[in-house]
Amino acid sequence: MNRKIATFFMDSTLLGVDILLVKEVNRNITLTPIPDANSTLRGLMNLRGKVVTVIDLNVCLNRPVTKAIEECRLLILKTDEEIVNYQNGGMLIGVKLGEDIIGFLINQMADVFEVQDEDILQPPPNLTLVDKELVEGVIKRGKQLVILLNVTAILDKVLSASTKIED
Amino acid sequence: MINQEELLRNFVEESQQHLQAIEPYLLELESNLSDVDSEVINRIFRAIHSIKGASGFFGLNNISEISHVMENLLSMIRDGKMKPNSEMVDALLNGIDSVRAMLSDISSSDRFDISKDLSLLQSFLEHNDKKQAENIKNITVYEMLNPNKKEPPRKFEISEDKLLSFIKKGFYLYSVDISINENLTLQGKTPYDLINSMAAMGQVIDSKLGTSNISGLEDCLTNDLSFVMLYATIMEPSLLPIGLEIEEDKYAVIDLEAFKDKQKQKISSELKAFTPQDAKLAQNIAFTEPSPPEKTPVKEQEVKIADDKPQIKEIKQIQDKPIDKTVRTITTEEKIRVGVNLLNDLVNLAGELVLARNQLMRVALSRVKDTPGLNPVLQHLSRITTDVQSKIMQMRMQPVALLFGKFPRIVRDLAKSLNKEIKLITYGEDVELDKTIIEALSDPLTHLIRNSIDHGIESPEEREKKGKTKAGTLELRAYHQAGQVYIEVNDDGKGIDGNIVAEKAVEKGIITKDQLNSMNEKERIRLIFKPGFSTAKEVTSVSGRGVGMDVVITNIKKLGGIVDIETVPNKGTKMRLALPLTLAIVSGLVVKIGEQYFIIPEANIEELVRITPEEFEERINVVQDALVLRLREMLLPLINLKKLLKISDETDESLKSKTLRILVTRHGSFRQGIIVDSLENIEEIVVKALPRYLKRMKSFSGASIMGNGSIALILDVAGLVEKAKLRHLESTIEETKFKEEKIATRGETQTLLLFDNATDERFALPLELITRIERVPSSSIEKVRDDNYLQYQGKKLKLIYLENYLPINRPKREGLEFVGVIIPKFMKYPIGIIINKVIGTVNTEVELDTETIMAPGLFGSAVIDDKIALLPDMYKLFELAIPELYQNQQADKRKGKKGKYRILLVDDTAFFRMVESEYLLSAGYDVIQAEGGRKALSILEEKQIDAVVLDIIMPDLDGWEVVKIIRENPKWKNLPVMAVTSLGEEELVERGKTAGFSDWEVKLNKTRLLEKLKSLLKQ
Repeated sequence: MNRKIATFFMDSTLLGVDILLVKEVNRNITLTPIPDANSTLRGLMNLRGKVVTVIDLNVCLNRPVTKAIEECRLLILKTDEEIVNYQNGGMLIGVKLGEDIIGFLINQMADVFEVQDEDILQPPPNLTLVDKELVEGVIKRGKQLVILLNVTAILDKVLSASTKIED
Repeated sequence: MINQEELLRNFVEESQQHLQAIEPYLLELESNLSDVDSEVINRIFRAIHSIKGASGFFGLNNISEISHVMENLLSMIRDGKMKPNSEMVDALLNGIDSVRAMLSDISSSDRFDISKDLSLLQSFLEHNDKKQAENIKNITVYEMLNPNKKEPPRKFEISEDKLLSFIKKGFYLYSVDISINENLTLQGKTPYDLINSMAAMGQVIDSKLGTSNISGLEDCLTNDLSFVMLYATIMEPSLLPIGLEIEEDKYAVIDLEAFKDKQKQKISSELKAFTPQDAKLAQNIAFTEPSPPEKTPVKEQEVKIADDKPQIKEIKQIQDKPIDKTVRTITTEEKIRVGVNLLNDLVNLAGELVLARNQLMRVALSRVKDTPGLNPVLQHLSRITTDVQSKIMQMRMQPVALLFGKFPRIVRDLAKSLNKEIKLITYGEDVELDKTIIEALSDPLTHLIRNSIDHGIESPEEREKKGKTKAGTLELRAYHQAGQVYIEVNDDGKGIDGNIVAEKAVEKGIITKDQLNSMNEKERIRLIFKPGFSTAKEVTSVSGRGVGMDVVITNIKKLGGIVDIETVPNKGTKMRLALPLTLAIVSGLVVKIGEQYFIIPEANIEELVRITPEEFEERINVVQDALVLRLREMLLPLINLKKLLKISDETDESLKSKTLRILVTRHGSFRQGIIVDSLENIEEIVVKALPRYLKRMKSFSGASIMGNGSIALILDVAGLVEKAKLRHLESTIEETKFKEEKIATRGETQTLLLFDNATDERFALPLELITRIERVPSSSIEKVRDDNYLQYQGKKLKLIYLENYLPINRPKREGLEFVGVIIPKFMKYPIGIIINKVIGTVNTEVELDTETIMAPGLFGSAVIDDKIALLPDMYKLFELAIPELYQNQQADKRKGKKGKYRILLVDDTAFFRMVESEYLLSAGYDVIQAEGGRKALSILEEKQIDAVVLDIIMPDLDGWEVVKIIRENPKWKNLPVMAVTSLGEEELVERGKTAGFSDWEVKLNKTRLLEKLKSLLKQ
């Protein structure tokens, strides 16, 4: 089956997510920090009257905390409700985005390309750039390697990190 | 157009409503088995009947079957053929439960095992059947040929008894074909609509599915079902299609010819009473009738006319009234069904609208001055927005009756299983709450009630030993107070013993022995809310499984509410839930901590305290490493938010060098101070739920979008208290204070707000009269001709300066950046008083001096804290400021007689006597004062009095006793007696009327006092 992957840069690493998961990409990020919150949560943002939870993808992927937020973009994901039609059509099976709107801080958008299912490969054992649990697979594009993220796993990780019971 | 699935949903909803509605009637039936009220039975019967009828439509065999049996049983009871007993009620309740269970999972309802309920119900019927077996005989009746109908005539079974009684009443029998799609769906009706209209005009005797290939729900949802019903009605063949809104080929008349003779024989004796006059009348009527469109045998018509009396009357009724009225059921209020989702969208949009309004206001206000016409438009928009919002919120409001309605059953079942006798009393069922809150309250309230019954109320024997009534009383009470809704669960059981609770908690390792020793009674009792706590000696099936009270408190907290317990050993326990009216929009104070804005719900805030570096040493102490604030006679623990939320590493030391802003907040019965950097403004905020990633954070309860588009987090006071692990030192002090309030006998004290007007003079106003004190920039006061206004909560607030009305020093206000504005309570027309700043509040017994310094608009002066303070008469000031608003408060002249009405004013406190008599005198009444109950009674004996204004809490003879004595004397039976008191209003509403008060009002609300008094005297 054909899929379209939206790619973006985190520093020099090229990452990708299924484009069907992407709601929009925003430039102007006005964050309200959440005091005393888990470090994966960078803050809340108002998106046309709705609350967006902004997640530091770098922290999720065990990389250093994102700095210079003003130079970042916000990759805003859809919610379960918005992808249910795709799922009824047999796409995005197993993907869970939750009811809340999530935004990932990213450095820069790259291009969108099509890929066949069979061209999505198992992550190589020497992949150290990101935590393997959170990777759906890798795609070779010429010289470049696109790491396709498992968004469901990332959100799970954020949720379990952020809901540790406070003492 | 309604589709089939929606019809089914509709059916489920309506059936559930029916079931809920009849439960109380069943309980009523049970409580009054010997004397059955036919209306009660009828209501139950009708509901079950509707369910039976409609369930048949959907091929829901199980529901239809069980409701059919219940209906039979009920009809036996109704017709007096069977005496109801409590086993029967049990069986019926079980049956209802089964139906309810089936309704909740409608698609698998036919797989539900109803055999037990059925056999139980049937056992009553069979028992009875044997007795009556010979009386019941089924007869087969046939459709007459209808030229419009294609199918061959059908046959039906009907009991002879019924058939004869229909003939006797002159009813027609029809078979009616209804296809769901054609007759209902396309017309936008539900099966219930049809059944209801049929039941209004006749009786559905039998109904069955018309097509044989339909066996259940599945088919029902896909095919267009047709339905055949045997229907008895007074409507003639010509009227039937109009009445039921069906086509002519959809019904057939049942041939009753053969049975009429039989009926005639039976009533031959009655025929003697049949007079020729009636016959003539009947004939006339018959001739004026429009001729039926289809051929009805002539013979039939004759028989019909020559039948007996009742029928003639019925025909006459139909002829007298326009057809439309007799055949349509009249609905009083038009309603429309709206999905909750749509409603929620509207609520959100209304929230957005408010937001947009606030943003617009912010931008536009600066241009108001140089844009003519802008201000009125803004005001208009603002008002409309507020109205739209409040109307939309109203749509979500539901009465707590929905919630309370299910408790009679629960209480009954529990009491039965625990062998206790319990009387359930509910008050305030019409109090309304947001739908979400109502729904979320169901479980916690059930739990509280179970607890009360299980642990609180004693067994009848134990109660008798204690000298209590055998039956315990459980009281459910809902009321409004101060913008919140309170729900109380009160029992008169054995109360909660803090020591036992505490020991238990130690035993279970919930607290340590050391902790226990430092706890006061109130804290000990609150241990029942700790997770893993259960006081029952044995685990019962009812409650006490260790999960419970902690769940209650978490659920209530989630709703932004609090739970409070008051308990007296052997007297009972009062659990009080304080809840917000709605979750979606709250009034909140915006505060700044560091660079970030937060919101604290206004309902949590009691007062604001400002501490300057000079005052620091005096007001702030360190107790066990924690900061506490000295406020009046209380010590409040302090929370430094900046530190708690880790916004910066501020040390307590650094607090000393700056002016502190402290919010005194209340959580349950505890108060604490929260230190913030600055206070911004109060806003109506739209609460948005936190994303699930933040749900576990105790500090926040929600988020909101601010006027500038950024998001602010809403602080959760309860969570902050928990996070800060505060220890409360003040609760003991507070408890004694509470007692004082309750038992206050001699010399009530007043809490006064002290303030200055930027001069040396000090002023004081009773705190009871004040809603809020705002601090606003001087520049925000707008001058329109000679008047001053402030934009306040989207409205225009008129402001007055004290020096314009009172003989006091004129302050120099130039250069003052901020002024204070006192916003009084109880105002129809809002007015604010401009002051310089608040000095503080004092709680003292005021000795009012009305001679040394006196002027219109002043009550007088008093020495407070060794200094003279002037007490302005706020209402008088307002009258001076806007006289036209207060004209109609003037007393009416005495009817018939000359002169003024004479009012007896009874209050033990000189201050209140003074203030109230001033109110009354200024309105044109004659006032006689009495400082106690006995004095009042002797004055009543001696003088002509038109009305009494009575305080409640007084030494020697209190208000309750006085009004009792007054009412016992026939001379004063109709004398208007009005209670004016500082007791909470809900206490009055509850007791006032029964005690004999004509009306009541909270102390010092002048406008309402005068209005109510005026209307009492009119009566």
